[in-house]
Amino acid sequence: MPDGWAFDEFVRNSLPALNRYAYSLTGDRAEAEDLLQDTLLKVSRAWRRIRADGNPLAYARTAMLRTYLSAWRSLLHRPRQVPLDHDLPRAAADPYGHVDARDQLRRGLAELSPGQRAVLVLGYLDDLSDEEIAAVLNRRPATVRSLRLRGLHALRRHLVGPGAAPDDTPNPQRLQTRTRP
Amino acid sequence: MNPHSDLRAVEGRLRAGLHDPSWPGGSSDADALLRRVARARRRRPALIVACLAILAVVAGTTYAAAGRSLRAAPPVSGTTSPTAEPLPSDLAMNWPPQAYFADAKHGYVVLKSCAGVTTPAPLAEGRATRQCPVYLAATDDGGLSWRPRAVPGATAPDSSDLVTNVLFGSDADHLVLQATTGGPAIFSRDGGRTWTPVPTPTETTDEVPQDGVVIVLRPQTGLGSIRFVVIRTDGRAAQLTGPTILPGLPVTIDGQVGVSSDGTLWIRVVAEGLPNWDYVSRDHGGTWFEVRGPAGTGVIYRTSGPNLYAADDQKRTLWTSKDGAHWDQVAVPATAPGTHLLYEPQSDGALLIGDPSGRRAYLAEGLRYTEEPVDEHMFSQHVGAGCIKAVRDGAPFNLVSTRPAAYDLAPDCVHWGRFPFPIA
Repeated sequence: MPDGWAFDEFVRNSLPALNRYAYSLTGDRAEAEDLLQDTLLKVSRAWRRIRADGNPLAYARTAMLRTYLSAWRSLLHRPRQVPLDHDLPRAAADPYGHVDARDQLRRGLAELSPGQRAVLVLGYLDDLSDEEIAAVLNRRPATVRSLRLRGLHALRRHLVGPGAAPDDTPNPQRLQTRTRP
Repeated sequence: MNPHSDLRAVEGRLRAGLHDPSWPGGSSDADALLRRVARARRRRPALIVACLAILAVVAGTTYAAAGRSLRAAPPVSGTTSPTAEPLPSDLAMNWPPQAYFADAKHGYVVLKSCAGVTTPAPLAEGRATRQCPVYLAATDDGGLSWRPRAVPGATAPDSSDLVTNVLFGSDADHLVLQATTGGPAIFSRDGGRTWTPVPTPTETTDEVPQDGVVIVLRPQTGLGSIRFVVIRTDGRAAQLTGPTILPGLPVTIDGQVGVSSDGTLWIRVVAEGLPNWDYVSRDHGGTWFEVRGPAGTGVIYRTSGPNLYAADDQKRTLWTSKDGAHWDQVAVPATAPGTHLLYEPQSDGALLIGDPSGRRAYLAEGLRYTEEPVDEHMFSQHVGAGCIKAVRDGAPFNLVSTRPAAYDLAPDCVHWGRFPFPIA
């Protein structure tokens, strides 16, 4: 293992954050584990350089995002997987409504395109601005705004239902730019 | 219900959900994960050796098969294969390619095969052009694989200035193919497997319905009017009532009727000796207004949203207008002398400006503009939901002035790959 304990320690410390990130992107436990493993493999190969740069978590997040986005084409060939019951969040202490809401959100996110999903995760989990997301994805801020708005509209249709979606035609011009507070 | 408050609620729910401590993750067993990563690292050298071995075997087999095939080829050309509809080996795309993606998976590209087609005797105008059989290649997996099919009876000129157009209805299965702009059109309901001629319209319509596409029909003989015909997904055709291009005027329509992402319709009129002008409709064809560029010889960009943009012939000066009548000059960024700026309408109504000599990009919204980070895929050509761009290594913004060797394709305008067909 590269740099032995240092890499192991990084994995142990950052596992909760990377887990959350991987699951938010994939929406599936098994795919999240695959994504996490692929990401850590890349991180481990570049560990000396990453460690010298001083921000391995940021590197790992970017590597995970790019792995996720580059993998979607090959995923098109695979049969679509239906989540099993045991893939639902294990939270017996929660009220059922809470579990249902989380599952509804997870299923709503699963309906989005990889680009929309990446923009929403970066924007609402990492709280990045449109400009920062555009830099990470190597896209224009206007494209990020468009992806975010379309993703939110699709999510709204899933969460609220088609009857509550009178405006089905997203217009990126209506979306205000998200900037750092 | 207010859609904006709905969206804010969705944003709040999304943020809360993603930060919820009970939001699940993958494995939480760090030791098991570290063991798997270590195993994967050890597997890599063995995997590389195995892949190399497989490649060597495949290459050897392919080489041997190719050698056998070449040796077995009949010495006389023109022998037909016993299998049905053999595809010619010289299938190639027009330049520029005539492609369209209805969504990120379903797309089409027009191909032609000119092998064995003889050149007719020159006509009086000296524009004899051989007519090559047309093929349509379809993909349903975002361009990973393509299925070329012959289009019975359809031919396209072997010339880059006369192109075949494929236009779409409301989904990927309904398409219209017009071998030359203004010429006869054929219609398919099954993604190009079967075709029927577009019927002569017997009724009129005031607007383009959601599932309709508009084609331009030129009078075949005499001085009849140029007609705009709406074809619906059920195969019915109706003549659009506007705009009226007076019969007898020496004008042509440039390309097809353009549709911006907000549904605005654009018809570009080209008149010999006169500046081009556009007819624009923002209400699906119900009403039209004329847009003439301020510089007389201006180029007008097919934008979405309220702002119109026009540039002079040299593409150094930019104007913007709301109504097509009153124009204000945009103070475009300073460039090196002789630089021709690039302009590309964006789906959100803004206009992307490229300075190829300075390798800089700007985004104009009305009279204001902001600098944008340069992206290697800027100024690619939009083909429905997808984008294509010429392969032009080293040139800023993929500038193309000569026929490129190949084209790249991004069915979602994000993930790029190479078109498998050469350029004719």
